[in-house]
This record gives sequence, structure tokens and C-alpha cells, in this order.
Amino acid sequence: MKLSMAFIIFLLGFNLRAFASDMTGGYNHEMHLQKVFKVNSIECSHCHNFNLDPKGKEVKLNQAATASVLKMPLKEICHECHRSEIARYKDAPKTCFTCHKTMENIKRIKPTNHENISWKTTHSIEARVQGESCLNCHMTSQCSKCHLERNDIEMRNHPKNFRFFHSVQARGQPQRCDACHTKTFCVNCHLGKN
Amino acid sequence: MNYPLFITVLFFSFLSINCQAGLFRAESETLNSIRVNDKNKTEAPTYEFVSASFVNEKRDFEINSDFSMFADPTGNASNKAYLYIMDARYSVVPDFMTIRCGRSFDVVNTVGPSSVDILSAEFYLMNKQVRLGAFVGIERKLESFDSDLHSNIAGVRADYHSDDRQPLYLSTKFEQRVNVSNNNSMEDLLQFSGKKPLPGAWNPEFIIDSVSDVYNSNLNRLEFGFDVYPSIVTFSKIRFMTYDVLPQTGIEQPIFSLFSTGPLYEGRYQFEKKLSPKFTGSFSVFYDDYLLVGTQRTSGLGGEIEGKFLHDSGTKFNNVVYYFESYGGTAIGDRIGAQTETSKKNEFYGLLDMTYYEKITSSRRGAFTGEAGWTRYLGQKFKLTLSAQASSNNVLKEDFRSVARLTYLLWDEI
Repeated sequence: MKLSMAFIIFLLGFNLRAFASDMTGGYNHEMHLQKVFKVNSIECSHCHNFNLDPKGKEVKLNQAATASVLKMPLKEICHECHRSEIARYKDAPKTCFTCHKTMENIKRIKPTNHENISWKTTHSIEARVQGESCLNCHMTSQCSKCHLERNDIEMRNHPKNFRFFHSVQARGQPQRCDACHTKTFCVNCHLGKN
Repeated sequence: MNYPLFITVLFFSFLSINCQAGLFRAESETLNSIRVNDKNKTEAPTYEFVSASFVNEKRDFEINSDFSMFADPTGNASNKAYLYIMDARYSVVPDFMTIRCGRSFDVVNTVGPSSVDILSAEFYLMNKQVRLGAFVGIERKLESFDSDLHSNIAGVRADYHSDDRQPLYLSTKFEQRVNVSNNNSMEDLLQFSGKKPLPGAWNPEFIIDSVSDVYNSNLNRLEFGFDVYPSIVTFSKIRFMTYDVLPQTGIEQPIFSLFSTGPLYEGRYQFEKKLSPKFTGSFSVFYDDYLLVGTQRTSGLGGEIEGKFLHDSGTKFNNVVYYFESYGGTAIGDRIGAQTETSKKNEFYGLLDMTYYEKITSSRRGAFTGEAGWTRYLGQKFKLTLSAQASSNNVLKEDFRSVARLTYLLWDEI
């Protein structure tokens, strides 16, 4: 326990700065202006809600202007470069985490199938087919919480009463036990080793 | 050796060497219970789980760690520690080659997710649409702190995904295993899998995954099916599976082979509908059929009806009615849960699990578990949960427990 407390205090010693939870909180306009827009000759009106006349000397308010200062939804503006495969934008970081950094913003792009009630118990086949894409948002230390960590105080992946009727389900779907356990797990209780 | 401190120092040494902006996640959870065991002695098992990850802004460097400690202050059990993850991934040649090493939980290289001490290399071609990989390692399976089952493994893989809004995913892997903990039994596993969503009506997503043991000429697993979305609030999932692992292979004898002597066939169906913005209902059923002994086959079936409801007050309710049937008996039950946030700092929850079961051991009775808990957020990062649980079942007529869980959660940019 002393060690764990020491570890926690050690972590707290990292004076980690809070940052804006809003999506635009991490957007650096000046950096984009100097290193992206000027270099690639991208005009202000490419994103903002006004037009330049053909000679580029006069600014004209967009007749379809709304209260927004942007021409398109923010998502579309960012994704135009950050999700593009066009060679011109090849240097723009493509990982979702470039902008979606906070828990709040990561949840905004949570895939539809993750919302399904059964997702927790049926995601294995998706992970087998495209495991790489899990790592776009998740870190492997998140998987281990359910898949690896074991304790005998509470069951994390089974309902409370499962222990008393698991023999019924194990005889109905014996392959499901193999996903996490081997014979040792059965022997520990049934042959009184634990 | 001061094991946890060593890991901690190692983790942060990596971090300081590569001190860059990035995303950092850390979680520490302490679990403690005080109970009287069957020898009438008081014991107080205490677990500490610590995990941390860092990935830099460019996402070309990542480290992960997760370890646990176990102690019993009453002296009824010896102290133990286990390292689940301590790995690093680094992009040696940007957009072309990445290596990963250390103890990892792998969902990319190995056939099926596994805990493995790994050294792997991955190569990207065609704008990362094609990925080639190779690895060597030792797969570990932790069933209790006293057992450490392992296999020596090595393999290669190739993945492809198309570059469109409904991408086709294809993956093939080959893995050779020598199961050291199981008399050096050999397996050559070959996996093929794919997924393809289609645009248009119902937006079906087809998926298939197969694993064969070519060394032992056995089809271990074949699962296929599709998901459909008839409307934006309706979802349906259909899956078929055949499964058959040999009793003498695997890191240890598979549990499947304790019950079955031949192939299993399974069909599953699930339907889910968001009936209102605050209520979601779901219905799922499964049917399994497998070879019990000789030519005698047996079956299992079951299902769940689940509802989730969000009240205007912010209280969340969920209810699951479940049923399972096999030659082992039948079980029917109901799980009810509620969770409410009384303030930004306080949450309360309660749950009931009531089951009636009849088993081949002639045991006919019910099991009841009720739990109530209070979660208090301490500052920005700490979460303390205190809960009390009462249960009654065929093992203990009355069983009372209390659990304290202290969690430190950090998900931040550094």
C-alpha cells in the first residue's frame, strides 16, 4: 500500500496542465497561417465566411452568410486536409487524435457500433479482423483492464450471480470460456486448489 | 527486488527520454475486502492495479504499462506482483516501418488477442493500405498468481484495406506455436478474416473470421455473419460459428474440450431498437449444438431481453431478463440496475441480480445479490467508491461484503 501511495504521489508530481476541452482548444491559427496557408496559397476565404473578388483586392460578404464565421461545418474544414489522401496535404497529420484529444472529444467520434448494447460482449470478431483500427483511439493498457487483470474480490466481466449458474451456460456454450480461461481456472475452485 | 518501483521508474525513464507533447493516460485502482474464510480466519485481500500509457503527437512513439500487486495484511497469503504490460512502439522509418517490443497485449500480430512478450516489426505499403508484419515472442496466460502458462510463438501477417468510405478489410496471419506448458504441443495457426460494409439500404456489414490449425489439420474456428441497420435507430446482428479445438493442443487443455468431443455449431441473433431518445431495447438469442460423446450431440440455448432508460432527472436504469438452458440445467433471472448523479461530486448506484436455477446436481434454488454503492469524486483525478453487497445462494445462506475502490484517473495532454 505504501508503494501504491508513493506511486500516486509520484504521478501527482507531474504538473500536467489542463487544456481546453473544446475541439478548437488545441487549434493553433498562427501556426496554420504561417506554415500551411501561406505555403499552400490558401486564402482566408477558403474557410471563412466571405468572398474575395476575382482580382483578390476586395472582400465581399457572402450573401449566404449566417452567424457562423466559417463557410462549412468545422468538421469538414479540418477533415479536408487531415483526412485527405491528396498529395498536396500529405504532411497534415492524419491521426484522429491530432484534434480529438480529450475524453469528451474522443467520445464525439465513437463509432456507431460501439453504442450497441451487445458491443462489450461481441467486439472480439471486429478486433480479430481489424485490430489495428482499435488502436486509433484506444491504448493497449485499456484492453488489459478487462482482458488481463484478475482479482478474487469482484467479477468484472460476469454478472453477480454468474458464479452460481455458470455450469449451465458452460455446458451450453463451452467455447465462450476459452476466450479468457483455461483448465487451471476451473481446477482452482473445483479441485479445491484455491 | 522492488518490482513495482522498478517498473514505474522504467516507464517514466522512457517517457523522459522521449519527452514530447502527447497524450498521457494513467489509472490506479485499489481494491480491498475484509472477509472470513472457510477456516474461520479473517483475511483482507488487497489488490493494486496500475496502468499508464503515453503516445506522442505524431503517434510514432507509444509506451504502455500495466501491473498489479497483491497483499494480505492479515498474513494469510503471501505478497505477489505481476506485470501485464510493459511495451514500447516506435516508428523507425516514418510511414514505412514500426517496431514494438516488450510485454504487450497484442490485437494486431497474433492470431486472436493475447498477452505476449513480443518483438515485432510492421511495414506499410501503398499509403498504409497494405501492412506486412512479423513477430517472435512468448505468449503468457495468467490464470492465477501461482501459474504462468506460456507458449513460444512466431508469425507473419498481411493486412489490406481499401481506400473508400466503406472500406474492405482483409487480413491473413500465420502463427507457429510451441506450447511449452502443454508438453511442447505444436500448432500452426492460419487465420483469414475480412469485413465489408455496403452502402445503401440497411447498410449491411459482412464479416468473416477463420482460424485453422494446419499442423493438426483442424478447423479451430469459423465465424461469419452480418450486421444490418434497417433505420438509424434499429440494429440487427446475425452470426454463425463453428468451433472445434483439439484437447491436446493449446497453451493448456481448452475448457471446450472438457465438455465437447467434436465440432460445435452456433447461431446468434440480436435485435436492438432505440424506441425513444431515452429508451433503448434489445433482444438476443443463441442456439448451440455440439458433440458430447461418441455420436451423441447436445445443445444449449438462451437469450436476453434488455432495456436501458434515461430518466429526465439524469438517473439511468437498466434491466436484463436472461435465460440459459443446457444439459447442465436451466437458469432464469433478472438484473436491475440504477445509477444517479446527485451532484457533480457524488454518484449513487444500486443493483439487484435475482436468479432461479435448476442444475443436474439436483440443486434447485435461487440466488440473490443486492449491491448499493456511493462514488465520491475527490478533486479532479480521484474517485472513491464504497459499496455494500448482500447475497444468498446455494453456497452461503447469508453473505455480506463491502468493497472499497480508490481509483486515480488521468487522461491528459502533456
